[in-house]
Amino acid sequence: MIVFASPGMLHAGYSLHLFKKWAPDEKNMVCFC
Amino acid sequence: MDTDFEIKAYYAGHVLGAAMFHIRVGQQTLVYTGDFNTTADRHLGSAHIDRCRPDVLITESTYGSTVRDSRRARERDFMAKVVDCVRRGGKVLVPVFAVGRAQELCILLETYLERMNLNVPIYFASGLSEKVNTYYSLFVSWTNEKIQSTFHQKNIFDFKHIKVCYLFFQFIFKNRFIFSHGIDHMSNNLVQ
Repeated sequence: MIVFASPGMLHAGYSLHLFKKWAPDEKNMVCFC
Repeated sequence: MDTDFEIKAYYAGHVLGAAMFHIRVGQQTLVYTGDFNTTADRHLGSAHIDRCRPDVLITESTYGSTVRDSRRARERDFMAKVVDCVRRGGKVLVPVFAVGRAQELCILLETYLERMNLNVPIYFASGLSEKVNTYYSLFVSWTNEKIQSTFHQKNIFDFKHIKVCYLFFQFIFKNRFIFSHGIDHMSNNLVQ
């Protein structure tokens, strides 16, 4: 699964929420473009 | 306003509709621009401006002192990492702003996954992006020539693999649980 989420700076909202949720699993990846 | 005053807008090749301005008042000239891009990307053409010698140049300077890899190399690197992660059973989070890079990455992923025959669900979680994609479709004449020429066969912003999950995410944020019924195109394990 690939999720584009705003905001781009990962400081709030959807992207930060998902980051916290997925961070513990080392299989996951965060990609800044 | 003085009658000897002239403003000309030029295509900036940044987000859809971005412009650079050449301004002349009498003998004095000025170029004012925000972000611009002199190389075409997957959805926009390149910035261009007539030959000029402005007295003043005011410009955005993002990447002004950085030598970047070629777009092709960056795209290849990005796709390789994404596919590798997904194949290992991982999830990929790409933090983006709703406008600009997001649409470019959508086109890249959509094209690549279709060519590779990979079926990876892609979601777009942003309050704005559903509207943004609509506007990109409406103002397709501002995109690059390739997109315009194929537009009558296929609207490239009408993404097949990419789903907008604005409402879905609202559910999660408000209620902290997932409604698994009624949102049949959403995967239940999205936030597991």
